[in-house]
Amino acid sequence: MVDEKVLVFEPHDCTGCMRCMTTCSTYHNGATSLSKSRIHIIRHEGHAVSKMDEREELIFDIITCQHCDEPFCQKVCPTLAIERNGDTGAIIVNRDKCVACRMCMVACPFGAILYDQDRRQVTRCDLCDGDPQCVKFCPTGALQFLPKRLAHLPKRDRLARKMTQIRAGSILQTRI
Amino acid sequence: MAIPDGYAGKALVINLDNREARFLPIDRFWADYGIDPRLWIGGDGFITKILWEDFQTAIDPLGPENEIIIATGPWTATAAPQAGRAMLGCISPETGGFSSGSFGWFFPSTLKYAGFDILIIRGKCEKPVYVFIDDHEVLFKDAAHLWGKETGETVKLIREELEERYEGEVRVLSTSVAGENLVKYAPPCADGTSCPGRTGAGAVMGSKNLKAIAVRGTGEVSLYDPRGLLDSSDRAVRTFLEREPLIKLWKEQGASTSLGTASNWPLSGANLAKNRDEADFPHFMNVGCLNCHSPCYHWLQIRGGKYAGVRQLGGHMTFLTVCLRNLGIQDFGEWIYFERLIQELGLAPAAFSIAYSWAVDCFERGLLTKDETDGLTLKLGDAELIFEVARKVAYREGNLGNLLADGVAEASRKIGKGSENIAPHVKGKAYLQRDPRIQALMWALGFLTSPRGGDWLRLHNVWELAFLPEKRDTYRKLTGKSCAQIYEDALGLLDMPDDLKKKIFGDPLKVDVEWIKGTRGKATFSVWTENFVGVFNSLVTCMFGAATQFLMVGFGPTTYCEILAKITGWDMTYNELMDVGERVFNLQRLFNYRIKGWDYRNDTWADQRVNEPAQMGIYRGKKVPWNDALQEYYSVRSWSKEGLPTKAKLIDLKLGDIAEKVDLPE
Amino acid sequence: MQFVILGNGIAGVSAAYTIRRLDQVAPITIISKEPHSAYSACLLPDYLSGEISRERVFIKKFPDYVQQNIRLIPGRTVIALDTARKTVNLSPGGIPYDKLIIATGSTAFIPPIKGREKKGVFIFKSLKDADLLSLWKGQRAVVIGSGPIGVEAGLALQKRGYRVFLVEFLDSVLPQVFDGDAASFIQALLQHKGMEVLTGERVTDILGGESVQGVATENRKISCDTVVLATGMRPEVALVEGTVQLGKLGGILTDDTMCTNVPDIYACGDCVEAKSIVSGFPVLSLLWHNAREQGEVAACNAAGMHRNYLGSINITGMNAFGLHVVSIGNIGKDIENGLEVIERKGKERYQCLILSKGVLVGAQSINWTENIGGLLAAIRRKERIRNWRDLTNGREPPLSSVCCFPFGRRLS
Repeated sequence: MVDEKVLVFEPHDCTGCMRCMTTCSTYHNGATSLSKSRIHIIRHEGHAVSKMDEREELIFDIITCQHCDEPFCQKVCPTLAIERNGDTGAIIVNRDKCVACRMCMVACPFGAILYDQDRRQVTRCDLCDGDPQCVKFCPTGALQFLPKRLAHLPKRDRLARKMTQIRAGSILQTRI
Repeated sequence: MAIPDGYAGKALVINLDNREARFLPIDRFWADYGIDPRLWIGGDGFITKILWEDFQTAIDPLGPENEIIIATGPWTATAAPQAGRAMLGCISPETGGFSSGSFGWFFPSTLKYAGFDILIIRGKCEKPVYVFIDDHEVLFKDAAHLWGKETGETVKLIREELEERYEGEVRVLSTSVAGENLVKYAPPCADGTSCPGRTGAGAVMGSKNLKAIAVRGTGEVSLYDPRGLLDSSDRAVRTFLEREPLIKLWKEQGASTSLGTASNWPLSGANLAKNRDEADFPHFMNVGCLNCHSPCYHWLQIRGGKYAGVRQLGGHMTFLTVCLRNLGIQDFGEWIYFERLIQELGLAPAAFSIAYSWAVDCFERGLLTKDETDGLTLKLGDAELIFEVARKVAYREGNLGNLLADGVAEASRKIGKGSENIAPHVKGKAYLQRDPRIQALMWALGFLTSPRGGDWLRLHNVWELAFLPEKRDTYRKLTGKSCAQIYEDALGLLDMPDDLKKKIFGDPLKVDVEWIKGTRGKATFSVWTENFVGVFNSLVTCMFGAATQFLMVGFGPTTYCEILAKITGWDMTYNELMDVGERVFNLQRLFNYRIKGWDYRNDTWADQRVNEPAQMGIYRGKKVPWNDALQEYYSVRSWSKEGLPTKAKLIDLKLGDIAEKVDLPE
Repeated sequence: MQFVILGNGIAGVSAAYTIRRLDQVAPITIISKEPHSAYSACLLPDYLSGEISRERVFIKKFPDYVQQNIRLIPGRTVIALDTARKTVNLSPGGIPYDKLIIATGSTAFIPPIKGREKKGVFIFKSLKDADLLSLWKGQRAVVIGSGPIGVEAGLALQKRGYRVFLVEFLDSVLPQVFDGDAASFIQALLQHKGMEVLTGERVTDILGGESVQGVATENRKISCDTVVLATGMRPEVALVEGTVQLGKLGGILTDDTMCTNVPDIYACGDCVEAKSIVSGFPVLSLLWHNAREQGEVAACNAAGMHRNYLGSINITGMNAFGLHVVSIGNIGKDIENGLEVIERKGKERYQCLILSKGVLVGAQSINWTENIGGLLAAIRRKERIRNWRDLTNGREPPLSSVCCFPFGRRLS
């Protein structure tokens, strides 16, 4: 049984540099863009300065193919072009069968699939055949490539550290 | 000619007189301007050549003949490290001479994805307007409802009314109230976050009734060797993160303050780190521009006091320095507010703080009376007062506001009475800290030599200032290495040919107190630094990758050549690349000579106090040998004694045809 | 355990492959009326228009069945079902079964219009229909019925050079899929691109001699040499009528496990009535993705692995002249109380939310596909939203489904 690995994103470590996006598009398309990257970081900037005071947080969200165990896209594809790569477990598009009808775009709740107008093809993350470049180029380690069954661990670790910090703080106060 | 990879492919020339937008294939534009991209690359290179061709005589910088040029480079918007930057150029409202500035965040790359390498805006619109570049469509939108709005509000409203499909899709370069009121040093601001801070282009935009430029770009940038680029970029960044001595401090305590902390300046990053950690945002990391591995923006929040709860994205060195050194403000919360206020009003921190502190000097000497200061008692250290004055200046309100809005040079000319002799500026432009003597030699020499006027960003070299003798060495505690060790490593890592290193640091290479206090090699090092700055301002990439904040052992010319080759296919050598920087610097100098008549007589301080012995720093108790340093500098640059490029030099730099047209020494 | 599947559409194929995944050994037989291997009906318009080759409509080739050890019997009609002996009668011959899955699909409803037997009159349901229409050489076509099949057929014929007239009995085009502004926009678009669209008109006769020469409606006569009847599909249940219980809409009634009222007989695809995710009531689905899912569910249960069908939902997408039009969920026509339509218009694009008593039940978009998927999830979860930003606490879709992650929640 393949120990399927997936992209795991930790928003608190992301600086919004989008190097994952420039790398992805460069690697797969041979040209750099943000619009045609298979991974997207959405920057919640609070509309620059003025909304900063209203908004509670600055956070970055990621949108990319989740390589669902039961993919929505696969269910609607009229040519059965959406398959699972036997080695990596990634969901991939069989280009011979795909007619770019874009029903998969409709079905995906994450909006992870995009249509490249110039190349006339539907595009999505395929985990770079098991060696995801975005992970390699992420300067902060916010993106990791972990087995699905271990994907929760970075978050657990972060929470544990935070709790320790909080508890340590309150212990000091009671001592005073 | 075929357009090399790395360029978006088009120039956009906008005339606000008749709301006309012309698209030109970039090779056609280059042909019109006599630009060989291999000689100028992009950014400052293009701007310098364009200004040279477009202006033969002086003009009124706030009149309709001035133009605003935004130039990206082949580096911008690619997968190269720190690919988020562009340069903005115009004629300076403060000096009437050359002006350009670097800015980033995401406007530059979006402009390039929209398909444009260069954007030029000319003329004047009869009423407030903003331009929307929507991929290949250019729209002129009414801006009456935006006029009078501050930076953040402007960006927010424009993005909303343009219905961006996701947050940050539309990028905005806007001018704020200070620019609208023609404050001469008002900069424009990109996305309310990154400004070409020393250009005065905010006022130029105001004079053109141009409130903002908005852009949406969904295209891509072609590359010569995409996989090769990724490979080079990966290696370069990993090397950088290993080699940059302060990178750990940078990430923990803040980009702005890492050097200050390490070398025990009064500017400590501990405060910044603490504030950042305590801020409500659960996001503790720095944030930054496109493709940056060493982001320098911090999320900060004022914790207590009158402005508690106000947040700022920034925490930049310039603001902290001017608060501490020029304005006498000590409280960290007040620093944050100052930065936020300046950004919202659209002022420039150095120019404003210098103008204000000069006004305080004048007030204390009776050169300015209470009548002239609208009844205010000017002093340093009073944050509330300073904020009030900043608002006045932005709106040109009252006597004082109007006076300081013109900048310290013009204000001192107006007041007279000897106030000109205590005005911290060169050629009409204020520099960073009020007393240049404490920053001698190289850093302060740059104030004299920069084509922009008083300036610290073109000769950005802190080798002298960051040095600590053994008994005061704080580096060891914070970085694990002693100062001496760091410098020794740096001597090895500095990307410079050996013969040049020997010229600067002696043979064997050594940096010690003697070198620090002496003048040997300083002129050579200064010239090299300025040329190097010209290189990364033409690529265009970020100073913090190259000159970093410290000893410039980040990306050097060799790395830039390697990565540039993967983008464009050019096999440039180290010398060819540095020549671009030198070429750009020389033509800027020549430009100022042509339209302003500037030469060695203008490489001088208005503030006469600098001729006295310094009270602190390397030259404590001694007079700084400005003139000797300048003469040596001219000589290293192969300029005449009058501080002008010689014909031979220009021919050497492949500017022979230009040399013909100007009356210059041989 | 012998599995027999009636029908070689996506429901049947899906069922067969699912069983094979769960059980490597059991004999699986598919009996199909059509002589081909499985193809995608969704691709027939692209084939008719000439955009793809005939070969590309197939989703399985004959060797694929062999490779999976699935026995396909093509081109045979089932005569009768013998539930007592658990045998499917082919005549000659019979196939015994332990578990039967009915996936007979749907057939075109042919309205009793005079003249419908003339040469030049087509339906557009199967590959055979597409083949015949492809070989036909006409110039002017009247398409009767403006459901998705009618519109797609019209567009395909227009690409082939036909002058096309689209005649719809109801008041707007794609009446089961779009409503209001969206429908008007699409109609205007079709007309702008040269298709003549007549709504609120009923065709009374097909005119001509042996071959079609024209069509008469209540209001006018249209000369043409081709007629395509696209007046709807009905579940194909002739075979099983009387054997299994049918619902009010004419489809085979199924429970949550896709089982009929007869044990060991399951049903899936166009021929069934299954519950709707939105209303919970049985509906006919007639859509690819529902058929496929039902096939999987039926197969799972037949093979002994319990699985519930979560319900059918409308997801319809069409590409018309470079514009992507999408309708998901309920379009609102049958909602009597508490119907609310919230629209937003952008530059050359449009979206609307359809609410029933405050709960999101449907959405439509023209040229604004990016965040529809998020709305689909919201419909499934029956969220009460009035605004796209409601979905994600202020974050714009497509992150709606992701909003269950604890992004941005303060820990203190």
